[in-house]
Amino acid sequence: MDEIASPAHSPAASRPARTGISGILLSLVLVTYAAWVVFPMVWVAYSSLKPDRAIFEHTFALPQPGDLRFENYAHAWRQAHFGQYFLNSVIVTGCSVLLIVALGAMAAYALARFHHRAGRALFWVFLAGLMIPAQLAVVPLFFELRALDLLNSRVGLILVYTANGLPFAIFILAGFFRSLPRALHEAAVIDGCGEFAAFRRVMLPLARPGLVTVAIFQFIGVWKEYFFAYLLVGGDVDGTARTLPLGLANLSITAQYRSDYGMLFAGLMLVTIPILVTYALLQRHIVKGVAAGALRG
Amino acid sequence: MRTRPWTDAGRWFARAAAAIGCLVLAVPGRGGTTLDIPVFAGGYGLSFYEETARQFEALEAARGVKVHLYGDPRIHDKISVRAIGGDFPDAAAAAYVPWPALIRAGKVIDLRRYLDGPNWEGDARWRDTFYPGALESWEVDGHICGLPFTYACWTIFYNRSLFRAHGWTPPRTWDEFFALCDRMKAAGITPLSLAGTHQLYPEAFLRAAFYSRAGSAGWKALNALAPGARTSPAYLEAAALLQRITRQDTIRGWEGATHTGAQLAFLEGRTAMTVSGSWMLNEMAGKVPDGFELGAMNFPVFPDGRGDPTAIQTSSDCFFVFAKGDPRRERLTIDFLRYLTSRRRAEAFVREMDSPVAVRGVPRVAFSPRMRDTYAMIEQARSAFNMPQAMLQPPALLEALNDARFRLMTGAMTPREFGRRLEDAAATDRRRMADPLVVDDRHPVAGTLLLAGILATAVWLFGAERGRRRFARDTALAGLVPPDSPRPRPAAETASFGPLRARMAATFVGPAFALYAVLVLLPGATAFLWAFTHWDGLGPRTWTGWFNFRELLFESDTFWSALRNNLFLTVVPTLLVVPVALLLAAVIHRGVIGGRVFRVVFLFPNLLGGIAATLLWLNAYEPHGGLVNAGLVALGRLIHSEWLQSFDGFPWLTPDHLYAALVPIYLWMACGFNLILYLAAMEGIDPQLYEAAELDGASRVRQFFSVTLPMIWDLVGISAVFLVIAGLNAFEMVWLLTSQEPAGSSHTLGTLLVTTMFKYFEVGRAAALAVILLVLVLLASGVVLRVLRREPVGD
Repeated sequence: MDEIASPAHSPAASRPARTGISGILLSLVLVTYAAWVVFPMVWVAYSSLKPDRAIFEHTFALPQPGDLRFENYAHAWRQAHFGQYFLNSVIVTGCSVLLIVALGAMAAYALARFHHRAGRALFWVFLAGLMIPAQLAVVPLFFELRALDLLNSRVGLILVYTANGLPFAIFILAGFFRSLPRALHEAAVIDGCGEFAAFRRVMLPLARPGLVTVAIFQFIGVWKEYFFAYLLVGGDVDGTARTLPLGLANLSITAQYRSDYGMLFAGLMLVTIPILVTYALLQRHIVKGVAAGALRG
Repeated sequence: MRTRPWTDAGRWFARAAAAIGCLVLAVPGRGGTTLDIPVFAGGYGLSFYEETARQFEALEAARGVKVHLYGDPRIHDKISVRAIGGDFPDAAAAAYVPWPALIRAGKVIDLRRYLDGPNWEGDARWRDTFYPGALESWEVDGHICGLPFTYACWTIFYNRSLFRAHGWTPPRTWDEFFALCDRMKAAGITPLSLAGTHQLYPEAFLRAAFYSRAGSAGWKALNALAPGARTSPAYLEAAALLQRITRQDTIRGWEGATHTGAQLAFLEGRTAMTVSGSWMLNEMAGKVPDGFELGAMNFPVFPDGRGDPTAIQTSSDCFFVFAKGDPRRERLTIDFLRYLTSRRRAEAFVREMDSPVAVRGVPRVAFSPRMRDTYAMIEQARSAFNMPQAMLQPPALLEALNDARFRLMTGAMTPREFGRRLEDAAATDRRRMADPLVVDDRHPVAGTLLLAGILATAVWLFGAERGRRRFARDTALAGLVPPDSPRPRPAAETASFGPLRARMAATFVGPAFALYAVLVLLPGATAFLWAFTHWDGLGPRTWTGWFNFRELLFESDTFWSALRNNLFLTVVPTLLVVPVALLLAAVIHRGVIGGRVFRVVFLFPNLLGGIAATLLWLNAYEPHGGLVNAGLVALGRLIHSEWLQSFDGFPWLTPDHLYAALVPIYLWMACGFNLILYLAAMEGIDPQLYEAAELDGASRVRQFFSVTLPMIWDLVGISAVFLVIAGLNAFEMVWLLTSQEPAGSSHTLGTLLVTTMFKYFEVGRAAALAVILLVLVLLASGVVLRVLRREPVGD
């Protein structure tokens, strides 16, 4: 620690990359941590091409170049119905995020602009949702969806995700709308915009950073959601509503049952790759979105 | 979103509605009748049943019958979720569905009416075509509710060539068995591999030993919850025998082995014997080494000669027919099952699966040489007993068994303690049957303390006026209200609020609020009501007052171990993740080469999601050759550490070590997120503060503690609250690492809730758990914020 602390000649304000002994040591700490983050994933990646029995027999060995088991992927793809579940996940996540952003923005706008006792109470009612654990509602929710005939359906899942995502969206977006100058809105109204048009044309574009933050945050949350999915579409036998996390969990059980680990590793890669690609393309937005969302949430 | 403006709200809604409308799937129209039959796809797979379905369809083409037959190893979860959702298939074959609740509710038909009719061939009474005892598997209150098809025999499988090479012979008595094990160990061979995660497998020893001691009458008494059956000398002796086997003669790391893992160890020659049922070869198809000579032997008996050495332990996969109120469908379903149990299909099953069926009359030649041992065992058996159906066992006993059996096998519990624990549970179940609302005060002190603690904390948080104001500020810090949000309420603005705008505001908030109210608030409030009821989701709901809470707090062992586990998950990961993330964030913040890359890399596990991350670690924790143990062993070789090398085969995921094993996963997943959070906050700090500190000669470490930390302290508190809430809500990691069946002591409140609702159909109890969870989450967040609140410093 002493070395880390000792020479600090550079002004902290500019915060340039540090060189010298301490810089190298600090980098080493990070590299070590990065190795521990990355290596398990690399292990899964190359093990997914090994024959089933070699995975745990020669743990660290790379796959033989002449014996790459791509059929592991074929098995996983078939077994886990990846095509169907991927599509389900895209639809469910896409619709949920759209609805959350749209409905959340409208509600947040109204709650932020119109000061009224009822409005403030409503704001707090929404915020209480941030503290309610999913487990509280899920038991009656199951029977409610059963009564509405929305169990084991994508629509039911979308509506549930939307309802649960709204508190966060409203909280973030209300902050944004509050910070927008009132004069803009008034100008729009004077220009002859209706209330809704003023919102749509003037206020919404200004809140775009907030919308992006909410969308990214919710996308990540919904894409990997398991609890609601397991309970609310878990009885779906045709696979028309099951999402990827469900498929992956099921694949794991099947793989354990048959002790077919090559298939499981391949399945894990099939789930990881799209996330990795998306992340590689959008990493700047995602890191910023997560930070912004978390900072405010 | 920015190019074409919508003209009005109506159009916007129209689009949303259209988007949703597109998702609604058109249900394909069906001609004729399609029977819906989910089947457990375990060792036998599905192909035989599918083939039977196709043949049946061909035979019944005139009646236009189709059979939709499908399944997987977790089909019971799907059936349970469907059943409690009121959507019943025509028939199903899966053991772990709460059949007793379904039978009580009249959702499963009594098969006796059909069994007294003819068989498929029409040459015998259907009932008489089964092996004796097979129809007793699912006899409930005199009703026969399950139709057996398979008839697996529990046996000790042994490696015949190994036995021949060493001149060993299958033992007849338990004394000979243990003597043989000693000789094997002397020869450097591990006698047995067993499955620690599927405890019904090793338990076969206990069942066999008990039956050979207590006989048929004792077996019936045990399953009828007769008082004293579990503390009887016969039961204790059987328990001691199981303990001796698992502690002395079983392969290292068996505690973490699945049944297929244990079978693989045996087939690969790492042990001389294993215990399984007749389905084993099917289950291990493709994994049996060429030339492997499989032998099967019955369980030994005690040497005094009283036990019946020919008695076989059987278990059948049974079909249940649902009462759907449609006589035609029911008739067709029965016909399908009659066809399935015809002699032709029975023989076909034996030929394909090489495993016995419950239907008599399959010739010996249908079995392969490998299964002749088993065939002979069945034909010679003078008596047979069924493995008790797990779901038929009453809840307290089942819970106690799940927990205590493992502790018996690992030696954490003596046979006497084991028997006593089960006897207590059986007594609870007996009392409950007599009076459903009676509660056993097993945890009077802990229950009272928890209630008192909750009350005291609540008073502390909400009590004094001063405290209340502070709490409001704290919740503001937690982000419930943007701390810096300007909330001016000029009189003019309030005044400008007119009736027209109120209607406008309602249109804006309305859709969001409607959804939120219907899908969050309403069920949340309903949970509070249901917590005071008893309901199995099928029959009528009855008010039971505080019973569910009293039962959880004062009686249930599982609730208390779950609470302990949640406490562990709120404290330990938080104490680790926060400092590590802070350290890493501080390092990146103060400037280091590649800082941005690290930031991106560290966040990735969080994006991967709980399921993928947990499965990754599940495999990394594989006892033999998983990344963790292989890494430890390799490191041990490098630095010549015996201790590290001894980790080969260490079962991380057994109930004893599961929670320790969760800590690295938490760190792996949660650090990146918190790091991003801290970094974002650090970047908001005014650089001039650092310049000033530097001028004062403060070292980097001092700067961290005197500038960075105080500036982001509020955020650290918030992240701690996130972690604490996550720890209380913990579900998916434990759920997956325990293959969705946590042992009694491995539960968290979340997994217990799901198990209670979907595996035992105890909806009221699940709601009570949810309410307790909510109270704990609210109080814990309040406490964390209070404790971490910075005392006002003169800044």
